[in-house]
Amino acid sequence: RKIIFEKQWFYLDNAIGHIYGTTFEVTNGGNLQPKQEVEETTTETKEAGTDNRNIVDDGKSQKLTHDDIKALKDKGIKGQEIVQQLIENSTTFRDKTEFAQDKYIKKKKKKYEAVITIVKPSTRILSTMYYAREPGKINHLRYDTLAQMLTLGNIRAGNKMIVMETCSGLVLGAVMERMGGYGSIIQMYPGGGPVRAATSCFGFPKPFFDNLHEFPLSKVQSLLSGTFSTETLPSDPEDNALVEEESNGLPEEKQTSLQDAEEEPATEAAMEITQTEEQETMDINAEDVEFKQNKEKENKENVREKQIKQFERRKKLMETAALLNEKNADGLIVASKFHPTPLLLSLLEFVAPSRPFVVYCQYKEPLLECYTKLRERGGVINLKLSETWLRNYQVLPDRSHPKLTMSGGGGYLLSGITVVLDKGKSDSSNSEALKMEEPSPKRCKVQDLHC
Amino acid sequence: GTGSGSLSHALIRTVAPTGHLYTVEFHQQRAEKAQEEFREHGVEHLVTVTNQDVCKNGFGVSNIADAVFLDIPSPWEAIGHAKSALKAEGGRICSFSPCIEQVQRTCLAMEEYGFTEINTLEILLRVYNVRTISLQIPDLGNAAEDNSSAGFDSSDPSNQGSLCSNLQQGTVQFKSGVPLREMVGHTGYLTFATKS
Repeated sequence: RKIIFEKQWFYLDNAIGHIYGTTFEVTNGGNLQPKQEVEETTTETKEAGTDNRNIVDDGKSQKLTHDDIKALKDKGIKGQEIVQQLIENSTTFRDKTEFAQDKYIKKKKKKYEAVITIVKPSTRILSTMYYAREPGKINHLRYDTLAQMLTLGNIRAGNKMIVMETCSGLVLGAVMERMGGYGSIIQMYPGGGPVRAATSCFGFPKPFFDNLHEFPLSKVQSLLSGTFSTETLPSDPEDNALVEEESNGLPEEKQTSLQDAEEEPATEAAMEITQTEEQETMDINAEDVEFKQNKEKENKENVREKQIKQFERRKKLMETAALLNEKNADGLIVASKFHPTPLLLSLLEFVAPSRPFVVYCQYKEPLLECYTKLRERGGVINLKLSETWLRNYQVLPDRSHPKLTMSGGGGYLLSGITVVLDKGKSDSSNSEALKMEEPSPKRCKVQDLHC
Repeated sequence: GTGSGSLSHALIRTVAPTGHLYTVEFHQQRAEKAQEEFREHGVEHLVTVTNQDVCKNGFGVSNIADAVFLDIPSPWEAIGHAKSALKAEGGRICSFSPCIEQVQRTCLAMEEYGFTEINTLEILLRVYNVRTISLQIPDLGNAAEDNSSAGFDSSDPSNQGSLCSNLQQGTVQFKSGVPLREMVGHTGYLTFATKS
């Protein structure tokens, strides 16, 4: 299978068997070859200039043309050699300052040296990559914000967690990594089924998934009101084309079609149908008996398999509903494209008192409303609305400075702790005290114009 | 750099139940207090406290750590020891320092010891208070002015009255996430790297 990454294409076959962290070179044929350790020749005193006052950037300082470089590549010359050639054929290279020379070499190496390092996946790597390359798929959840969520949510082995996310399964994966296979997770999902594209990238061992459950959001109200049944279900996602990725910005056309809840027969009726079909196979034309029998056997097997699967799904759903109904989850994590308020108000019902919850939202305003509604509801303390400001630095001798500012781009968090909800009195009496208005304007005297 | 043991508790929470924390503190009393607290909190089986100078004598273990965290005044002196405490491949190191000069020395040491992916950053937590704010609507006068008053005549008592009463009438309310008046601007720089 050909992989294309950062304008390089190659086959992964030769990587198998090597340990994580091995660095490879991409050969001309697109194969990977472990890179030899090259001794850096640093002892030569480099000829360099002091500043750029005499360097004219006219685009003509490189004597090698595009064709020349292509010819070198076609000859099979290694990237390192090409960079060396570029340096030797640059009229301005030796006039550059040492720093400028380093920067030039680094830039050319990145372009011409096809070097790949394969690393073991982790939350750190996946969250950084998703934020850099597909932020839309994770609602622009920046990796430091995700780190805050794991800490504020006290995610740890042994917890019973409720997770509701539309971040391709990245948040779910981060939670699973922290829990190390201990405890349990119930993932709430919109539409026909949970999206776990990113989760599968973590490479968790199979046992991690034994205690991962899922439950459709569309059944939450019925569960809370006590009218839950497995009669009408979101259609089995395997029946329809597999929805692999959820596009957070686009209308969910695929999801709504999956949502059309088919009226599915109860388990007993399903068994009846199998029996009627068995009877039907008796009355068939003798000529194509064998062909038809084989075909129908196949169909019967498919149908039976499908029915067994449905039965299993229903059973699992009942079990998950029971887990939720215990209302003793150790925490709640919400990170989705939906407005957070209705999610929080309903899902908090399943969380035990004295437990943390964290809600992520790309925008601040919905969390302001959420905060207000939670105050009205009561049963929460330590409400905190926050964001993290992140700044990267370049640290080099005599060249240290901040690299770029990413403040304001990482999303917002609302966190708190549940307490026993005294249904008798809500926090409405407190919300008055919490409303801080700007001090009222001085009463204006008729004569005073400066009020 | 155990210190108060605050970070140690967070790390223990994260690696439980199968992981282990080795923490080194050169101040004897602080080391003893930390040990006592771990016992009180029922986590002593998950942590080993060592009372020594990590810069001179290392962590007391080798080639086993998935990650090393340094919160000490001279982290560059502990980089070599950190490297030997770390597992053979893929271990991570993080150093926390308030001053950029410390960061520069540490980055240099990391490079010399062959660490890769060296990266320095800082993170600030910004907290917002949720408040309902009322802002006044200013009086911009009336579209249709009387011809008799060419401009605003401040000496005219009737004008004064209407100006003030308008100011008190119009307000707009909205919810806002208001930053705190003073926030923490800096605690320290975090430098991460990989042992490869």
